Parts: sequence; structure tokens; C-alpha cells
Amino acid sequence: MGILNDLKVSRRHALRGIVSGVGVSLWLPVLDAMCNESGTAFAAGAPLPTTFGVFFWGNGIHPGTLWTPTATGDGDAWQLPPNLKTFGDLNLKADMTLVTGLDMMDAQFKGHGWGVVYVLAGGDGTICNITADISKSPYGNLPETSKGTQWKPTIDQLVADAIYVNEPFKSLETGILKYTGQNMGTASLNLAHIGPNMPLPPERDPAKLFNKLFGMGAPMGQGGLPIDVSNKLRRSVLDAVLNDAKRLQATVGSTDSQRIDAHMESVRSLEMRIPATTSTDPATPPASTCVAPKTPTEKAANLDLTQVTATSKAINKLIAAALSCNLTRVYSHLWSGARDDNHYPIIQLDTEHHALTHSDAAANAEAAQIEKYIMDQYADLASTLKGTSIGATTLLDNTILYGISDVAEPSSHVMKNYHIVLMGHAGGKIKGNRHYRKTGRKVTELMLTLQQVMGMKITSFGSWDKTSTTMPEILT
Amino acid sequence: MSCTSDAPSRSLRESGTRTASKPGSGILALAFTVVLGGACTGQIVGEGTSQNRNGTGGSMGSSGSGGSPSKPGSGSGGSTQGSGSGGSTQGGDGSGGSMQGSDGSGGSMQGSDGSGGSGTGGAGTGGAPPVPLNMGGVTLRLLTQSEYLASVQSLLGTLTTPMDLADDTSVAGFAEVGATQMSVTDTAATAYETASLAATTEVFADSKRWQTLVGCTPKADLSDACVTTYIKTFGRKAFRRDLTAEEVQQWLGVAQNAATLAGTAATGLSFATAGMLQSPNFLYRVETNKVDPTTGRLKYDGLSMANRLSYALTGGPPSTALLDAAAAGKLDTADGVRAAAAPLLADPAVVDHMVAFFSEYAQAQQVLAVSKSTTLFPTFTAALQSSMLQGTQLFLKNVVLAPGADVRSFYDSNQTFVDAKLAPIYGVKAPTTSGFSQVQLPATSGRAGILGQAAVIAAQSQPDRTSPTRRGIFILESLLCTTPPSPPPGVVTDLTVDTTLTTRQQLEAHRSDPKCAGCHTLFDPMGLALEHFDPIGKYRDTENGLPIDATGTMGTTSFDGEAQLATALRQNPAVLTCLLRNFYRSVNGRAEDDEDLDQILSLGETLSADGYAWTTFLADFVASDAFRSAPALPIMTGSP
Repeated sequence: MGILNDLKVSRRHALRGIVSGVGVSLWLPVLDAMCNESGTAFAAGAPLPTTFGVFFWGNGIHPGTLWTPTATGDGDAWQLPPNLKTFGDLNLKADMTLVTGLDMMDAQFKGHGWGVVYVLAGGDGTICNITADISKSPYGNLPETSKGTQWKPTIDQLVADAIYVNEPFKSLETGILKYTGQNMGTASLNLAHIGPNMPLPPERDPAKLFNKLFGMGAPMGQGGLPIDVSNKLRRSVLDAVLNDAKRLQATVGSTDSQRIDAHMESVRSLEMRIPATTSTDPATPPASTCVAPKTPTEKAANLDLTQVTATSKAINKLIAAALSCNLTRVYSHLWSGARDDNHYPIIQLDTEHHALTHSDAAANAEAAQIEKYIMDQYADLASTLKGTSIGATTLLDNTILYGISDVAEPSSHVMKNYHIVLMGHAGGKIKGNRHYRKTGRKVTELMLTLQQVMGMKITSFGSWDKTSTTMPEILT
Repeated sequence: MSCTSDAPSRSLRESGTRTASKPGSGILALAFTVVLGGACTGQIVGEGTSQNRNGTGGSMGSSGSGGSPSKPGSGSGGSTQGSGSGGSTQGGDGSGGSMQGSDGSGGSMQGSDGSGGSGTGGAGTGGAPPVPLNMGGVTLRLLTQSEYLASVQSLLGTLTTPMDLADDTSVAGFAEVGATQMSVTDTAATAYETASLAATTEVFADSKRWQTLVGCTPKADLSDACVTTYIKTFGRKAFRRDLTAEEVQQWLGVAQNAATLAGTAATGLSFATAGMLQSPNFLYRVETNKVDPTTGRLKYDGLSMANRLSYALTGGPPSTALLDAAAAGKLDTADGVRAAAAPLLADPAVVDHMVAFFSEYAQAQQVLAVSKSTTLFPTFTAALQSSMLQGTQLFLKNVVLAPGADVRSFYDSNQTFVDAKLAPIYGVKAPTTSGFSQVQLPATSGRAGILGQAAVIAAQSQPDRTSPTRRGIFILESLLCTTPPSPPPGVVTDLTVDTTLTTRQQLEAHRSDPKCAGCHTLFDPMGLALEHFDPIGKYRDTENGLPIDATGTMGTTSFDGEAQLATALRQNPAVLTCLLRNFYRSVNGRAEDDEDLDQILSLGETLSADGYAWTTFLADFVASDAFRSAPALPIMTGSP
């Protein structure tokens, strides 16, 4: 829809009267009326918006029999390894692109704090080609200290910057387990960052996530205030807040100026979510693909680790609902953070995950069980997306999910042989049902390709392993 | 500090040079336990390719000999010994030498503790030509959650409506540091809107309450002069400065427009008030400073001092009296600040705020975040966790921060607070009254001070085991301000679990294998001293049926169990310097730099002169250069 491009120009007016000139509420799901006859694209010929997701888990994987298929190629040429078995059970192999063998630079020993910087942001901004180069970065000593963070925007934010039009949320951050240890700074508690010490914290509480996504319809302010009055007053207040921000910005230095920019961006996003008209009751989204789910009753995972599966399912459903209602095009799910230290009573494991990876063979086997369990939850997310149709396609077909961990193999911390589980087809650009393996290639090459798949006109990416080499081997 | 926010600060590794140049000068030499260099690259004697640099400064012990020098080729680097910086790489005299260690090639990656500054770390090129220094400017510090709540309470009174705010971001151990760097996310802005409207809705639903707040009963269209007065008065308190005419007009306009649309004065004022609470002028503390040519430091202006004083001491906003004093120039001198601080220091909010600081310093709140094995520790419920935290807070308030108390009791006091749930953990009788009571820990408990607090121990343990390494590193970093290097490349860090041995025995390789020992001797002994405390902080004599050995040695100091370790820590001047570094960090909202060194050391002397009474110290602290000005940091052009 050419409209989508026009919308970018004037976000404030974007969503008024889009469908046949009738004012609609801000939630603008992909309505069937907007699509072409086969339901595969908007009526004017532009493709349905592709979405981009990240699924991150901490502490890597154990390569070999549990994780690394012996064969590569397409379709029946390769089999799912045991730790990815549930994807097969849920009929998701055709939607998976497994990429193995990727390294971080010269594949040396390094830790979780550097790994998470690498796999989510491509480095900290200092050009490094070998691991030893990290010591010349002014931030090179900071990962795995209380000042650890991301120094560059994470990949989800880069994509969001590029593809955001006017969705209610520029990006959506969710999570399950919360790191409880020391010295990982903001980089283990949060996936998405827009800059150093500027995380976008994930929502781990299903009820709060529900409220954030679907609970915005109620009037605010004095009881009995009609909703359209409430909305007008809220907008007028936020306009004044933006004015104050602009004035303050003129008095500060460049770093604080950027913070004020981000603050204003946030206020504008909030303001845009306040419905502009009242011709439809904003509490009920228009009928179509957007079905507001029931209020969840599950608790945040860390409050009761024995219920973590239920929490995970609840959050997965909300992610799918958010995407089907076009509430966002970019989403990231922090299953567990870099160097995660939670234990898994749900599978009868009392020793925390990270400690298991630094122990004997029996403990490593238990760590591998945790990996399988996490992959089961990833499969549930993918399955939920697959089960949600939009037009003639599904959320899973229309997305690409970057499934990644901070380290490759966790016991040795040698940053070699990352296994990346991509799910989805990005609207047809990614074939799926493929295992691609080329040892020695770099994770940044994959990250570059994923960004290009999302339409970004970039030819290089990364600071650690800065690369212009793409990975067409994952494309259709 | 408009430019320093872009400037990296040099890391404290360079402080080693400074302290080393005054060998044996007691406190100075001990004060900065410098970052370890490549002491633990895992090379063993004779391999010849050692990257070793200097030992660490004193983590334990009094003035003893300097660190054992690292000669080329020798692998054991880092000594845990006594005073002073470690040896130089040039061979054996141990008296200083360059601490460039952590910058070298070869995989040693440490961990300087000092590269803070807002947002960017230091490139630290000691010896480079002089760089232009920042001349001062504006810094924005977002209100932390507790500051926000205190500020709203100060403005609107106590509220019953819950205010659900976005979490603080902790950087360098403190929410205050994070608040100087983080930006307001979409989620946070949404939370501010919901919270502020909830707050004003509660207030303006009660006519007596809001009319008292506003100071009159205005007409429905809010055209009365008293409304303008309200905007100015409330605005001044909310923005912690006078509003400009433009701002008054703007917020008056919002109020009047809202009143017209909604039809009532109350709603109009409610929305305008909520709006001011969402304004960045409320949400950010503004600190402005300018270079003082006589000192070369950046002196904070009066208004900034009003804000700094009140938030540092009470965690809440300045009163109008304090704003008036600022406007009258009374906060421009040390004496003026001291005089203005005196009534503040009498406010009970000060002790509560200091409890919050010490609690954050000890990371006691983490006890609420951790989970334990329900098989092994079925009593570790949310209720117990809450009791643990509360017990620690009461300890801080009534023992460490009691009027005139010696703050060093933080480390080794034999007093604590328990309720019925906590008593069994501490091995004492449950109180006869409900709630908490103060108890004296028996000498046999081997438990003292902050490291004996269940909240702290439980937070620094795993779900099913203790982890002496983790606890040791916590002590080293938090109490001694020393960061150990990461394990060297290629080292096997796997621990084979053997339930026929104690944890200490299982960690034998940490001591016997030179590749491990170089680093582990710096922290394991302290962690092992805590082995009598199980993963939820309860005392145990045995583990797996075997007696626990909690003895250890750091330098010339030996101890058996946590209480003795606590005594040793209390006696180590480096420990108090580390406390002050952290306090400085929390108050200033930034990690300390080299340039803060002298200030911090001098604060140590002040604390000592004040008999270690924290509230007395605060009176001197706020009048000090360390608080009234900031160092002029170099401006770095261009960053990666």
C-alpha cells in the first residue's frame, strides 16, 4: 500500500480515516479489506509488512550429537537434531533455517558479556578483527562488570528504526527468566538497547504485558470523564510535555540531548496510541485477524519457576496477538539472559544453568536438557505464530526470527560454532527447511543478511567482524 | 558538564602510578587497590611468555611489604599482599611502575573499576599530551523510582493509589548511576502518565484536599488569579526552580483548556498538575556547574546545590526554604551549605535514605530476586525473603546508623534483627513479641556484620550450593573495590561435583594449580570463610557429613569464619575508602574517576576525624569540595 509510505511522513495523522474514509481507532490490524484477492498483499500491490523477531537464550548450546545435524542441505537431506526435536513434532521443520559453524572473529576464548554484545549488536563499535583487539576498545574491559551494557543499538532496534511506520509500538520487548547474578550490567537483564545504558526492559509479567498491549482503552483522569474528553486532555498534556522537553534540550550537551530525543520519541509514541476519534469503541479492536486475548492469570516466571511453561505459553500467545493486531513489527523475546543463573525445577534441575555448564559431563548433559526445554518453548512460540493467520498467510510465514545465544559452546567459552535457529520465511524471502553450515563464517554475515531481508539498504555491518559478506545461502 | 558526558574518563588503573609514587604512605598506599593486571594469564613459572604485570594493591593486611614483583617470565603475578601497588614488569623492586597492565595484548582483559562517566568509558592513555578540559555545563539525572515517589509525596502528600513505575537501571552498582545515563523508554513514559494521572485523580477527587493544595476555590473556567499563583507555586516545587513566564502560560493554558472541555475546575487542575509531573523538568534533576578558576574544579551553582543537598541527604526534593536559600546565594559557600544542611540532617528521612544507600551497596534487595531449590530449602519462601530484607534494613537503621554509632559496625557488629521466621536462620530464639526484635548474635555463631546478614548471603549463593568463589568476588569487588581478571584463555573451569567432599575440598584445584591460584587466592579465602553459611544463610557445622573448614589467610591476616574475616575487613583502611567510593558514586550518579581520588581520600580522613559517625560525617561531606564541585574531566573528541 502506497499509503504506508505516505503514512511515514505524517505519523500524527496517519491513521485517521484510512479505511474508506471512516475514522477508525488507532489499532489498525491488517484488515481483509486492505488486502488483494489472494490475501497476500495490500490492495495497492505492496507486500504485507514483514516482521522481525529475536529469540535469545543464555549459555549457548552443546554441539555434536544433540545439536548438530550431520548433513546439510534442504528438506529430507537433513534431520532435526535431538534438541530441536519438538520443532519436528509441531510440524515446524519446514519453517526452520538452522545455521551452524559460525564464529566470533578468530574463535578464541571469551565470555558471555562479550558474546552478547557481538551477537546482538555486532560488537561495541570499535573495529576488531581478532579477539585480542577487544582490549583496545575503550569499553573492552566493561563486559562482565557492573558496567556491562550494549554500546551500539541491538539488531532489533536497527530494524525497528528502518521499518517502523506508525504501529502503536515501535518494538515489543518480552522476557521470561530474569538474571539474578552479578556483573553483567544491563546486558543480561535486557535484550534490546538503543545505546549504552539505554535498555528497553522486557516485560516478563503476562498481566502487565496484556495491559500494555490491550488495556489502553479506558479513560484516565477523573471518574466519569467521557473517553473522548479524556483522550483530548491527555494529548494536550503530552503536547505540553513535549514543549518542555524541546526547551530543556536546548540547554544540554549532546549526550543528554540524545536522551531527550529518545524521551520525546517515547512521549510521541504514547500520544499516538491515544485514539484520535471515537467513531469506534477503542476497547474493541475491529474484527478481523486481530483478536484480543483473554486477560492472562499466569505470573512472571521468577515468582514461581515451577510454572514457567505456563508463563511462557501465555507470553507467546500475547506476542502472537500483538503481531496479528499489527501492534508492532519488531519484537524480541529474552527467554533468559547472557550467563543466566536460573535453575529449572520444571525439569527437576536444582543447579543453576550457568554452573551446570562449568562442571562435569553429567552436569553438561543436564545443561543440554535445559537447552532442549528452552527450544521447546521457542517451538511453542513458532507454532503459535504459525497458527495465527493474517490474510491468506500466517504470522510465521511473514516473520523472520533470529534465534541466538550469547556463547556458542558454554564450557570452553571458545566463541566458535554458533548454532543459530532461524524461524519463519520473511514473507517468502527465506526458504526454510534448510541446514546451512560453513565453519569459520561470521555471525555478523548472517546479521547483515537478516537486515537486508528486512529491506534495509545496508552493505556492511558490525564492528567486531565488520563485514560486507552476505549469506545468500539462507535465502530462497 | 555538557562535554564531559562525551568524554571518557581515565581508568583508575592509572591511580596505581600515583599511589606508587608515595610508597608506604599508609592510607594513601592502601587506598586504591588497583586493578589486577595480567596476573592471572595462567602462565606458570618458567614458561617465559608471561604477560604478567602488577600485583594488586593491598586487599588485606596492614602496611606490609609491597606486592611481590612480577619478573618477566614468572607466572604468579598478583600477590594479595598488604600495602601498595604491586611490582613493575621491569623486575623486582615492587615500588610502583606502570600499571598499564590491563591494556596489553594477550587476552588479559581487565576490569578497571573506574571508567565511568556518563556513558563512555575511558581510553586512558597515560602520558599523552594535555587534553582540553571541560569547562562545565548541564547534566540531567533522571529521578530514580524512590526519588520520584518521594518527590510526588512531597508535592501531593501521601497517596493510597499504587504507582507502578518502570524499574530502575543499575549501573556500577547503583540506580543513581543508571539514572544519569538511561533514557525514558516508551514503557516508562506510559508508566509516568498512568502514575501521575492516578495520583492527581486521587487528590482532586477530594475537594477539601485539592483546595488546600491549590490554595483557593477557583471558578470553573480557572480564570482566577489564584490559579496562576498555583501554577507558579506548585511549578516551583515540582520543577525545583522558578518557572519562566512562558512555562506559566503554557501550563495555565493546559489547565484552562482542560477545565473547559471537562466542565470542572478540578479536572482542569488535575490534568495540568499531572502534566507537570510528566514534564522533564520534574523527571530530571538538573545539575549545572562551571569552572572555578581558583580551584580548576567545576563548581555547582546554588540551585544545583539545593537539589544535590536534598536528594543526597533525604532522597527527596528541596523545600521552598532551600530554594530560597539558593536564590539568595547562601549555597555558594561551604559554610552556607553547612548551615543549610543542618536542619535537613535532623530530618528522619536522612537515616532512611542512608539505610537505602547501605542496603543498595550490600545488594540486600537481591534476596527478593533469587530462587532456591525447593527440595533443599523449602522454607525459602517469599515471606522469608521479605523478612531477610527487612531484618537487614533494621540492622542498618538501628545499629549502623544509630545516632552517634560507629559506621564500621556495618562490617562486624554482633547485633542484628530477627522476627519469628528469621530466628531459626540465625540460630537464635524467636522474639516474644510479634514482628522484629534486636538480638545479640552469640560468639559461637561466627556471624557478624553485613556479611553475616542472611539477605546478603542468600543473594550471593546459588539455588543449591554456596559458591565461595561468587561470595569471595562479591567481597573483593563490593567491599574492597578490586576487580579480578576473567579466567585466562584455555583454562578448564569445570568443577566436578563430588558429594563425598566439602565444597572447599572440591575447589582444591583453585589453590593447588598455579594457573588458578594466581587469581583465586585473591578472593576464594574470603568466600571460603563464609562456608558455615548455607545457600540461605543458615549456619552449618558440616557439609556432606564432613566438618567445614572456614579458615583462610589474606596477606598476613588469618581468620576462621566470617566474624573474624569481618574484624579484619573493618580494620583495613581500604575497606572504608571503598565504602566512600561507593557513596560518592551514589551521590554523584557517576562512577568515580582518577580525578576524584584525592577528594575521596580526604573524605576518608574526615570520616575518621568524625569518629566514624555517619551523620556527623554527612554534615562535613556536604560542605566539602567533593560534593560542591566536580572534577574537570578531559574532553574527548570523537568516540568509536
